[in-house]
Amino acid sequence: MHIFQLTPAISTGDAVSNDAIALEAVLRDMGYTDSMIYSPAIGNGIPKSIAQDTRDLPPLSADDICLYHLAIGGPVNQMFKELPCRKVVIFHNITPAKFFEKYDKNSADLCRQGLKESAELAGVTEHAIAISEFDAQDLRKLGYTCPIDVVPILIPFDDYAKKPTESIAAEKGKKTTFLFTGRVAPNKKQGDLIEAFYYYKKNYNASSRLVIAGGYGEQDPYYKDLAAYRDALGLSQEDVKFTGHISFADLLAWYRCADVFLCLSEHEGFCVPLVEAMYFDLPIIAYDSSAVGETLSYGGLLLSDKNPLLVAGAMNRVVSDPKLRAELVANGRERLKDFDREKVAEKFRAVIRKLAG
Amino acid sequence: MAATVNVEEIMNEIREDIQKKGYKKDQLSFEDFSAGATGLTRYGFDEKTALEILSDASRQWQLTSWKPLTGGKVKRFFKRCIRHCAYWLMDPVLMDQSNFNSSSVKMMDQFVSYVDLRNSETADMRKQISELQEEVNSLRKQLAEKN
Repeated sequence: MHIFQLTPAISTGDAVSNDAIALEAVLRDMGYTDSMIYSPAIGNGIPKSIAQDTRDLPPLSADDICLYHLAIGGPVNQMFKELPCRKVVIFHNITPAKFFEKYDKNSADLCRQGLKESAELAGVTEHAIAISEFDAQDLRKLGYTCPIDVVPILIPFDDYAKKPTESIAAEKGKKTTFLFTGRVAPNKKQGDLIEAFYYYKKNYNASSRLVIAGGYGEQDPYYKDLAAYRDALGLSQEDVKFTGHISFADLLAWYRCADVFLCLSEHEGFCVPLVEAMYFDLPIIAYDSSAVGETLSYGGLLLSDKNPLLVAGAMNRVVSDPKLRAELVANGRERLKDFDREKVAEKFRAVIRKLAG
Repeated sequence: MAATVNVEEIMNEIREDIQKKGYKKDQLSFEDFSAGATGLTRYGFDEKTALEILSDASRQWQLTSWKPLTGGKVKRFFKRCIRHCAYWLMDPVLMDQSNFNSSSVKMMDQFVSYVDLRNSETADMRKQISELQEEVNSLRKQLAEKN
């Protein structure tokens, strides 16, 4: 019996890809030494020893197991459906199309298609792994009646001990820095971050900045609206900094340089940046939506109301109240233990052992 | 052991503080800002909207200086005099503008027709791709069975 993983695409810095790569290491440690990740779209920097093209998929037998990372619509969903082996879905959730309708009809269509195809896979899926209980519930709504195990994303915390970019890390303390990490996308509501930051800067602390660390395209309509909004509010490019796609060393540095992690996203399947912020002892303020509340839990300040004046007030409170700040950091450290690599790896191993019989 | 943070209490304190200090929203939210004052959809083509706009433009392209005169007898007389004095200046300008409007509407019509044509071609290509994909999948299956 062979076990392999299938992903629509694999590249560095992507949450789905990182999870696949981390799980690959666990599978090989378990003795599945010929395990491999297959994908039709392999990005630069992914070694052939980790991932190969789907064209190189070897002949499969009925008792082989394919672990498929389901995260979007596309032809790989159909490929997975037709594989002559046992099928396990690892569900990362699919962003609802409504977030993209205004800005990117192609992405909206892909998301709609993804949900439709996900529902069609319910009938052929023997077992499912959801990266959060929120995602597990979404699978049930899509008609999945197979057993579903919740296994959070496997995060390689050792990597976060690597050296950060010194020039960025050295900026710590110069200005109160609020950080959000994640690609610029309508569901992540960077527009709401800018609005809340405007009121924070105006009402509480002029010596502050908001750093949005995540990739975007210069011609991306959503990014253009964000930049125009920032300008319309009278905020400078230093007040609201869009880093674009950055190196891992730069990302580490921003986490070390920041004072607070701020998330007002309205749809996340898990939200790895929350766990990263906990690792870096950043107090977290987040809006309770989708899987955010589940991942953060008691590990930060979870808001049910994202009125920008209230969010700005919360930002001020976390910065200026040392007792609250210390409590949030301590709670984050406690919550982080639930995402310990070995703990999560053992949950995954348990699923594999169940499947292997 | 996690410390209990009373989020509700903290948020109530913040609300009171905001009220006490009189902080108010003085800017458009991002949602309102990105909708735009004119309500134009800047991103993404919608055929129904395009046809509606084209239909409106087709009725509105031609300009004329003539408007029914309103008001009492004296007012109407003076307005008629002003119109008579100004028509030699206004009418040529309005004619030029109407010609430009006519060209613009024709161009919009061309664009909509172009989109129709491309949509039709794209639908054909999608169908071909789907058929080819099925063929490829079938051949892969056959190859796998042979092996």
